[in-house]
Amino acid sequence: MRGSDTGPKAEAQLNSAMRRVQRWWLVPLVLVLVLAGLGAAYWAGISSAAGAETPQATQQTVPVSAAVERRAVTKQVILSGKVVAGAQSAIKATPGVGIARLVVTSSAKSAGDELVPGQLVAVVSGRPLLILPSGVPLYRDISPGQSGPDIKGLQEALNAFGFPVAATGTFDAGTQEGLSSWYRAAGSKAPTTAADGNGGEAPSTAGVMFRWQEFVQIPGDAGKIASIAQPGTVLGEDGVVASVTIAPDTIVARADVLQAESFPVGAPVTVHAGSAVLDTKVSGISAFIPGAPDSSDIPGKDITLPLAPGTAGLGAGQTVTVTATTEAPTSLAVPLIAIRQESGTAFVDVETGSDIRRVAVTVTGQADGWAAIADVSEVAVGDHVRLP
Amino acid sequence: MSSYWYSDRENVIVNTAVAFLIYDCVEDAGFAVGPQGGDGKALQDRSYGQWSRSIAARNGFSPEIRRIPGVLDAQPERSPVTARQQEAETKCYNSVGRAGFPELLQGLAGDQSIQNRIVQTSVALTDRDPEYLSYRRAWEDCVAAKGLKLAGSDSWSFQGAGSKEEEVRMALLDVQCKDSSGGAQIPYDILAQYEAAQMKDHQAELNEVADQKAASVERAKQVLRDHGVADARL
Repeated sequence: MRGSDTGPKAEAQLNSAMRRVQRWWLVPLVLVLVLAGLGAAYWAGISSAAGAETPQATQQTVPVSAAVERRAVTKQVILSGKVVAGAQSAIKATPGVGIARLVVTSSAKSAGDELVPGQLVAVVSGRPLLILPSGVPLYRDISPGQSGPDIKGLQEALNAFGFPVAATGTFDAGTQEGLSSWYRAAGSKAPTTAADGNGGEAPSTAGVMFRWQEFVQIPGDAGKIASIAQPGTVLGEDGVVASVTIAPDTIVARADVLQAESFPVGAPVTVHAGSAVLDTKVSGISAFIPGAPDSSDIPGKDITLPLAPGTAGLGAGQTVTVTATTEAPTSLAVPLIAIRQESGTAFVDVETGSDIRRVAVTVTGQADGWAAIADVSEVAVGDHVRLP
Repeated sequence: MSSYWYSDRENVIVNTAVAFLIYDCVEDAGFAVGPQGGDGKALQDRSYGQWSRSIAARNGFSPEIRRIPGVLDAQPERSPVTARQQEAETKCYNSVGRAGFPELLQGLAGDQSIQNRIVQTSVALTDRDPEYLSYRRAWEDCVAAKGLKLAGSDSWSFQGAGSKEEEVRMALLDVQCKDSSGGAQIPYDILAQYEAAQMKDHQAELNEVADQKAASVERAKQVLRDHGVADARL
């Protein structure tokens, strides 16, 4: 009977068979297996890389060459220059009779506004500052009945501003009417002989006079407001109300006497200033300027280029390069990198079948990656020169 | 070769030392006199004409002048001396002379030194060198094509310019032609090669010159120290 198997011995056997396997050692076992796998993968990778290296190591450098051409290699002359701020002129108010101090009452213009004769600049201490053409001889107050070239100039200006008057040269009623109209258009009233010195205003054109302190002129009769005093500003003793740019900024670059030959007036040039690039033309070239002993400027000629107002990246004081590109006659040409030097002598390596001939050359110009070389019997169009 | 001549600075040191010894003599004769001091000047080498484009653009053919720091600061202009003092000074100039300091300067008339003989020989050899002659011909053709006329058949100078602007232009064309003929340094390189060969043949004599120069400069420095010049100025 099996019943005897259930005795103590059988129980011991059963306990032995059912003993729980201790699992702590599985952890290092798994680790060993993982590490072994990684090692195998690494070895496989090394072997693969080593296997791939062999064909790579046997690769040879393939010589590169370029054909000699006949082409025009333009000649470039590059100067360094600077953006020079345009000339400025000050608009000044002059105190009239009875005016203790100059205070800007209102501004008719803002920085950047264009300014031309006929316009109102500002009102200072209650009186307007109007712009007359620079050709009008402005030197005195004018009362009714007075004559002179200044009055004729005023009459011509009034006509130009759209206030028709006869250009008689005499400050007559018609001129008074025209002047009054100009004042009215500017939002003010013309002064009169009857008025006191405190900016008196006439009820009609009777007694209207010309008070020279209320007019200003701009050299060249055109400009742009660079700065202008704001209303409420008490002007200094100089009475400066506004600063007007009367000439645009320019670019000026000094060229030595040989370089200057590449920059005749009208020649196209390219200006670089950082990322800004400007194509323009030479507008002027100075006479020879001898160098000063204590100056870093070389003797030569100043090349002037125009600069349109507001050109981005070219503010006053900005340093620039100015490049002139001159057409050159066609000549033998090779890529610039084919030109090599030894002991100060330029040469190219000309391929002849599997041989290489070293040929001394004279480089006559270079641009755009090409070098022009003087004709030499050992080099012809179609020959191949070795590139490094 | 330049190491066997006084450098510009060494020349200033030696000349100042000689001046001090002459002043000593004048003072011994009973007259007060002080050193003049001030910086020295040196001109660029133009044996084969203008070689620098930047100097040509600035100076034309005029040599670049380098300032050589002096041993003493410049002194105010001397007031006129009496006839008796002038006589004493002349006597001292003659009696002191170079005070035993050798004249190790290139280009002195009648110089029979080994250095000068090497230079003269090298110049003559350079003048006959095929590479030099080829370079010279190429340069002559180039300057002639640009309308420049040489001052003489073997000259590196040109017939006079009418204005500074024209002089600068000519100098720039001169350098441009040298560049297109192989480089402005070529004749100087050829000359240096001949000098090197000559120097090898006369190395023992040149070593003596080098020792003589070193001793001369050291003695000059001692003279200056004895006259109160600080080492910092030497």
